[in-house]
Amino acid sequence: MMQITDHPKVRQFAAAVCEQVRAREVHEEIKRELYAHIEDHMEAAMASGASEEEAVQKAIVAMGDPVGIGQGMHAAHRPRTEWGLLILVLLLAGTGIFMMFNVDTVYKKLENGMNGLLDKQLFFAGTGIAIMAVFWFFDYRKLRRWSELFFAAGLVLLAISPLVAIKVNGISAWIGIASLVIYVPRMAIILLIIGLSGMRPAYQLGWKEIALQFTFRGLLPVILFMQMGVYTEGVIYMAALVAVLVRMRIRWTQLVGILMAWIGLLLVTLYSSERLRDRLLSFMYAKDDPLGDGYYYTSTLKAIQDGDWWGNGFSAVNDWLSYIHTDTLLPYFIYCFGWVAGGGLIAMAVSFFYRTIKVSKKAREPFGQGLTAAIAALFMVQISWSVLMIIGLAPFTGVRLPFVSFGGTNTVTDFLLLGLLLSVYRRKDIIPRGSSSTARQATR
Amino acid sequence: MKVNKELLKGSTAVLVLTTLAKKDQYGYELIREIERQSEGVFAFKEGTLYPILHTLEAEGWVESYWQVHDGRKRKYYRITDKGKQHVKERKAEWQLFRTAVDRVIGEGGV
Repeated sequence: MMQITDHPKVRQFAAAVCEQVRAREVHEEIKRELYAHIEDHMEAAMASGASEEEAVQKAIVAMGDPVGIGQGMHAAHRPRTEWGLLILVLLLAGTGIFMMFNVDTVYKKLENGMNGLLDKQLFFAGTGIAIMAVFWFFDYRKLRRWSELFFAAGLVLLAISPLVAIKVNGISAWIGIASLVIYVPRMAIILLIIGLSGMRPAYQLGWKEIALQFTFRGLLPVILFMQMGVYTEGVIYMAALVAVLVRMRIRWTQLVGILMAWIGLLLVTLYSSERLRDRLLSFMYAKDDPLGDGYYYTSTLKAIQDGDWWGNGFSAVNDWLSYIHTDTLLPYFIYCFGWVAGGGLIAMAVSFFYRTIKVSKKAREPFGQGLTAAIAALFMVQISWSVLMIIGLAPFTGVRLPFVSFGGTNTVTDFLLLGLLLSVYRRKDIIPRGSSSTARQATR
Repeated sequence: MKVNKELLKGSTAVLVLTTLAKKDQYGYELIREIERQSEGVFAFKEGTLYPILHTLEAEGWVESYWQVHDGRKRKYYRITDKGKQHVKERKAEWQLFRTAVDRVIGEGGV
């Protein structure tokens, strides 16, 4: 028998199907599948006595109309949009912008010299949305080739930060470029998680390589974060790394090994860093010192209680919560608009991260799977921490509610990460199976 | 017996999923199996199966993988847990529909 592709009619048929499918990448796989089918059909026809030419004819007629098949294939391989995710984010960002208007009004009443938050947040969100659009339509897979470079850049940024950054509250984490002030740990974390996602799928790694990977990806960045005194980002990074490894099916014994190593590192840091020890102690004994270290927890709880079911209304003056545009944004929101609206905002944030997890489950190839898992973990930690913190169930840090609270670097990068999520989702049905099929087989 | 086309269209997905629930199959094998099981009632143009399979995969109801069988590479389909759940729901619907129809036309005694 001749090669199946040597039959012009067969090739014409497959080409006519593919002509209808705009996603070029899947053409090859569709063709191979159709060829295999026609071959099977021909074999059956020839076994019952048909000549090769007759068999080709029969098989192709049995297939049906190539244009109709192609149209159906096109419908199955179109770019997809995760509207739910996009709408939730726009609602969250809208709430944030509305809150800055609210906060501006209050700060004016309090005459504390802070103003123009609304204008700035509008600018940040606008910039963020523009960047999101770029990443959304950009093929995220192209980042993979540079992933090691991104990772190294993240490490370098963290390492040089103490030398060049501006010191605020004892932490050197801000770099000023022209009139912009950039929060370094956040930039670093973005670079690091893109870098992480490019690593070899975890199930392929032996103990030796896991140990090596863990030193560079698990220990080094965490130590750098800790040294800078930015524990929140350290924790977020660790969660992102675990998410990537789990999504790429690390062996659980190896995962336990990694967690043990981190606990060891944490104990050493606690032993040597008075600052971290103080922070943890003040969290655990907050009730004993309600006006000192425990002030944050007492004030947020009081604000939530005073909020009651329906709140104290727009721009209700509150002079005992500090930083209502960032640290205490959520309790202040509840203070103004009550438990029902507060619950609604939290529900919105939670359903947002729930959807990010679903995006990760739908990603087609390892890089997209890792990347979305890392982003989902980042948002999950940020959202759950900022909710648990205000009711005293998590230590107080500068962790932000994504898309809602005030911030330049944070708001812009939140949108950047959203753009990456949308980019992965967009391509979930236009990436051929072939590329990851061997990987899937290996795990079974 | 020939069956109404519209009726066929809606049930093909469930038919495919149910057949895949028994074992992983590639397209050609699947068509022959459905034909055999339905004793020729469900005989459709073979090519139309592929858009259905690809749509089921986009929905997350089946997964595909390439494997060599009898010296030839074939694209196999496997039903997912989500797909099994979908079949269960459709089956329950169908039962309900069937009992209702049975009651109406059965008692009418045409």
